[in-house]
Amino acid sequence: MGYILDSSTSQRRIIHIDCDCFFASVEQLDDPSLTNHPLAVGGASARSVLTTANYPARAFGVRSAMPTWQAKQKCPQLIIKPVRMQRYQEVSKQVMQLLKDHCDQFEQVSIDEAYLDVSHYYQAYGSATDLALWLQSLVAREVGITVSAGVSQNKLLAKLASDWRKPAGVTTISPAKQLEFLQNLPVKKFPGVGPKTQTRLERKGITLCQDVWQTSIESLTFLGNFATRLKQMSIGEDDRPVQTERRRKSVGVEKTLPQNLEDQDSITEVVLGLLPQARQRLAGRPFNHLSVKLKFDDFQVTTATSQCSHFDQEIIAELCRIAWQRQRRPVRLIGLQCQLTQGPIQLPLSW
Amino acid sequence: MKFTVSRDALVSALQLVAGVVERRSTMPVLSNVLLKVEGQQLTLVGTDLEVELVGRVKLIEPAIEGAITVPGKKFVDIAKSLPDDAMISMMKEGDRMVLRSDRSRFNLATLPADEFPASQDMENDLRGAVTLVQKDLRQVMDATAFSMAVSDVRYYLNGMLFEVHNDRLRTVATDGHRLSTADVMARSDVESPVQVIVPRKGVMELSRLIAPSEQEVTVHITQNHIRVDSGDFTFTSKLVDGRFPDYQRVIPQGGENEMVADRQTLRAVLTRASILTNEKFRSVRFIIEDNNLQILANNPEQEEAEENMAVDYQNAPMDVAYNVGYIQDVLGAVEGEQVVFTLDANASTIIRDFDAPERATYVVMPMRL
Repeated sequence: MGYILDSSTSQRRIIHIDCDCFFASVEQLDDPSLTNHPLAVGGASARSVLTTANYPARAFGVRSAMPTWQAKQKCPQLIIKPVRMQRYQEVSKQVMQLLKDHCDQFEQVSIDEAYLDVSHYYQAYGSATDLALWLQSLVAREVGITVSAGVSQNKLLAKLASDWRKPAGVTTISPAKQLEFLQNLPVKKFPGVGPKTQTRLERKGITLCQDVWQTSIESLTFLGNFATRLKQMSIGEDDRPVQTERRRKSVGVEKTLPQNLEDQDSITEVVLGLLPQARQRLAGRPFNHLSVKLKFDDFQVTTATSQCSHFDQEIIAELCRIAWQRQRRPVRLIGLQCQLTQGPIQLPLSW
Repeated sequence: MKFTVSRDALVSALQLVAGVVERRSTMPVLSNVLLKVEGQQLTLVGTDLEVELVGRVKLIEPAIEGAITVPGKKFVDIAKSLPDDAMISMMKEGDRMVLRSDRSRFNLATLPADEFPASQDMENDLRGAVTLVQKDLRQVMDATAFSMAVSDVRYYLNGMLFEVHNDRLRTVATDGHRLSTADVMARSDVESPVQVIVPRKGVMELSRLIAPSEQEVTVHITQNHIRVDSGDFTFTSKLVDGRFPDYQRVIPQGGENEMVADRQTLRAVLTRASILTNEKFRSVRFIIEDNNLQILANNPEQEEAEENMAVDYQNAPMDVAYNVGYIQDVLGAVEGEQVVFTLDANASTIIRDFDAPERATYVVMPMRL
C-alpha cells in the first residue's frame, strides 16, 4: 500500500494500536476451540494471579491481576492456561513487524501496544481512521488476532481512544470533539493516576476530567509536579513525540542455567562465558557501568553494579561475589548488563 | 584513679586518638576513650576495631593509678573549650569521672576499662620492621594517597600498598585509572620484600598523626596488622586481606615522547581550563606540538577554554585527553619546579619530578572522547 508524504499540515495524526486481551488471544489463536469460552492466562495454583482474561471471562467479572481463586469463584467454568511468554513474544513480533512495514514512524511501547505517527501521509489517500481500519483488518488477516485502534492528534488522546471501544474497535477523537470526549472521562484513565492518586483526588471531589477543569492548579499542589501534567492532560494536551528509535540505555545478556549453581566460582565462570555475546550485542558502543544479575531459586532477583567501562575480570568476579553473598541460595539465572553512555570513557590501567 | 594535666598536653593527645571514636557506635564502649594511669604516664586509647590509636602524656603532678573509659567526643569538646593555660584534674568518684578545672566541674558517665577492646599483640608473627623519620613517612603517603580508590568493588584498591625491601619503603595507590608510587630510604630488618595493604581509613588517620618532623618512627608489620610507633603515639590498623595488582606491569616502559613543563605554569593553566570542563567527566585535551602545549576544554553548554603554554617537546605531535583532576592531583603532589611527562603510543603518561625522578612515579591513563 503506497502513501505519499504530505508535509503541508501542522496538525499531528497519531494512531495507537492495542492488541485485545493479547495473551488470551494468542491462546485462542493456537486452540480455536477455546474461542467462545471464558478463558484466562496465569498461574493455576491458589497463590497465583491472572495476567489476562478474554471477553467472555470479563463478562463474569474476571479481570487481569485478579487472584486465581477469586476468578474461579466468579466463574467456576473458567479455563486457565499457563503463561507461554516465548510464544506471545513471537506473535507480538509478527504484529509489530506488520505495523512497522506500513509506517516507519513507529514506536513499540510494550509487548502488545504501539504508536504510529501518520501526520505526513497524504490525506487524499485516506484519513488516519481509514488507515487504522485497514491496519486492523491486516493484523486480523495476517496474524489472526484482533486489535483496537485509537486515532487522534497526540499520543495521550490516541491511547484513550483505543481503550474506548474494545475489542476490535476503532475510535477517532477529532480536535473539535476532544473536550466533549474528555468531559466525562474518569481521571483514573490518565497515565500516572494510580489507585493512590485516585483516592487523594476523590477526597478533593475529583473523579471526572471536568472536575479537574473546575479545580485550580493551586489546589492540586499536593500532587507535586504531576499537578501541571494532570491539568494539561485534562484538556487533551500532550506533545510527546512518537520515538521512532528508542534509545537503548543498557545492553544485557542472560542465561537460565540448566542446573542451579551454588558457588561463587561457577557463577563467575558463567558470567565470563557471557562476555562474547555481550561484546557482540554492544557492537563497540561505550558503556560506563557493569551489573551482574542473579535470580535465585526463590525467584528473587539481585543486581550488583560497579562503575566500569570495560570487561574487567576482577570487577566481574567481585560483582559475582557481592551478588551471591546477598542470598547464598541456589542460582537459576545469571545475567550481565552494560549501561551505555554518550560521554567520554576513562581508559583503565591494564594489569 | 586520679591525675592532673595541662589542658594543652591533654588536648593534643586526645585529638590524636579521638579521630577514630564514633559518636554513636553499635558497641557503646567504642564511643568512649580509654584512660589509663600507670606510674607517671597517662595513656589514652580510641578504636573502631579496625584502627586503634594510642596517645601518651607524661604526668608531672602526683597521680593515682587506674583505668576507665569516658565518652570520647564530649571529653574532647570539654577539654578544648577550657582556657589555653588551664590545668585539668580528673578523679574517679563512684561510677563517674569528675573533671575539675578552676571553677568548672563536669561529671562524665563511664564504662569499665575491661569492656574496652584489648590492643593487638604484635609480638607473634612479626614479618618485619622498618624505621624512618616521620617527615619521610608523611612524604611518601601524601605523595600517593590521592590515588586510592573510594569504595571500589575491588576492595583491595581502597587502601595503600606498603612495600618494604632492601632499606626502602615504597607506597603504591591506584583506583584502576591512575597509579602513584613513591619511594624513601629506611632502615629495615626485612630480607625478602614484604607487601601489605593498609585500608583507606588507616591511611587517613596515620597521615593525620605524623608530623613533618625529624623524629623517628618504627613501622611493624605482622600477618594481619600494621603498627606505627613514635613514642608519643601508637597507631595500629588491620590490613586488607587481598591481592594488590602487580603495579610494575602498568608502569609503561620505554615511552619516548617526553615533554618537560613548568609545574606551576601548567597548574595555573589547568585550573583555568578546568572551569569549562564537563563537570561529570572533567576531560581536557592536550595537544602537544613543537614546544607548545595547547589545552582545550568544553562543556555541555558549548562554552570553550583554550590555553597555550611553552614546553620542551620536539617529538611527533600528540593529541590526547585526560581527566583534569588526575593531572592536577599529581602536579599538587610533586615538589620540583619542572615535571616531565613521558607519553607512550597508547597515550598513557608517566609523570615525574624532572630533578628527582626517582622519588615518585605517576601513571595516568587517557580518556577516549
